[in-house]
Amino acid sequence: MSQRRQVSFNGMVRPLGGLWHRFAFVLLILAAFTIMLVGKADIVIVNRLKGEIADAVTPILDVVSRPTQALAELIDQTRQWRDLQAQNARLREENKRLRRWQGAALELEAENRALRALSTFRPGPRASFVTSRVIADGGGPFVHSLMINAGSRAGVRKGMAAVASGGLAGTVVSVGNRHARVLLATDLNSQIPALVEHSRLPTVVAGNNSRRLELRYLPQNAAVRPGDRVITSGHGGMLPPGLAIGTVSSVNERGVWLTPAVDWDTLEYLRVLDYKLDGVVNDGTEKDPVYAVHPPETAPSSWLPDVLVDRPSQ
Amino acid sequence: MRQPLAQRLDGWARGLMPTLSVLFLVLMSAVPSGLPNFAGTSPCYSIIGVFYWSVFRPDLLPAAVVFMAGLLQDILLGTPLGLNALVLLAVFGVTLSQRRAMLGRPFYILWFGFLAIISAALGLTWLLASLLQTHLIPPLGIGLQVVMTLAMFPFLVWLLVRIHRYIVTT
Repeated sequence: MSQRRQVSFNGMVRPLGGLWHRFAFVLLILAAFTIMLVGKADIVIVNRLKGEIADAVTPILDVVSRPTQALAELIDQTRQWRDLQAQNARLREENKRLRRWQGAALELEAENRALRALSTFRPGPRASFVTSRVIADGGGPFVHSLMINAGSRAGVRKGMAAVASGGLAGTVVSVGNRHARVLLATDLNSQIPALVEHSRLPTVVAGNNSRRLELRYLPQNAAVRPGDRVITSGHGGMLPPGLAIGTVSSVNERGVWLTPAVDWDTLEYLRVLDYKLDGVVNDGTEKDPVYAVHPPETAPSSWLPDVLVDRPSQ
Repeated sequence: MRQPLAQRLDGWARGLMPTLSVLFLVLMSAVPSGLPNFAGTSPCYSIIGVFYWSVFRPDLLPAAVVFMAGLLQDILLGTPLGLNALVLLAVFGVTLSQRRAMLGRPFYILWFGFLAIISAALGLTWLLASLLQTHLIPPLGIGLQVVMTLAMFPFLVWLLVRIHRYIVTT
């Protein structure tokens, strides 16, 4: 009797096992869909949980990313060895040119100092910075963002500018204790207020998940030529003004395109600049910054570089 | 008959290898590739891992692990949360239904099967990412990612076969 029962029990369990697996699978698929939709809503607790998990994995990523970085450095070095002679000649040429510029710069600096003394110019706070290593990347064509190994403990806060040697790379969009995520200027969701350097035209630099950047909201028939430099304007109070973003590479009826100033291939280290700006709306994921209790500055534009301040001509 | 404790622990350790290898491959997917001209594009190692274990040892890779691995990948890459979880689950489900066609066949059949899976998976990722960001993503980089992942496939399979042998030997 008992044996018969066992056989029938087994007979029932086997298809049930398959059914249960299938049910779990469908349930997980539904869960993934739900998370995707809920994730769009930017819920504080979800963001905090994401931050915690990323923080926990940061030390592992830090170690795992070292060998590939060493490989990248090796490739870079062999390249440099190969091009040594050509590079040397080019650098000599550049050195000659830069010496002439140095003379001009020294002259201008002296003049600037004298003029500042005349106009009782008040220099703004100096920017401090945190240097950090890129530990995760690889969103591929879908997302252009990076993880760096410096977080709120190192003084990184949301909205700060991340720069590489050439210029602006992106902005910090989320911060954990030990890591931060940088949204690159080339991402679809990145829009940076900017200026065309020589004509002072305000514009917005938008990414489109490719390697080029697009200039948007330029006035009709704006005088923009290939080769023009584009810099951050500082509008909106999030990024400091004057950081190089790129140079105009093509102008046609479909738009104005920029070549970024940053070389994305050699993005191993990023500097996160702290200009004590507070143009970011706090969404509750981080504590109020310490400087928020300070009284507002009396002359908010005093730290702007000279060229950006509209002074009445005297 | 109950096995001695050491033997059971050993059995668990072996049973955990597919899970651990998939989690490790998720980390690898997030690490910068360091190759000149390919910055930001890494091969989808995690898809290779899920594909391999769903063909050869689906009993050791629960769907829940695949789901968690996908969530972890989303957190590390900064892709919309749930996107890679869904894609990895789809890879798991489709491979599982087609595994008989690839079991015990020469390697190039496996490679070919993977070509179909990875193309479909990245197509799905592209569609979902475009929908979630309400903007069409330029599909140029996706072809590159398919090629990179296919090129890495034999090396990863070699590695996974070593792990597989470790699981099987007693």
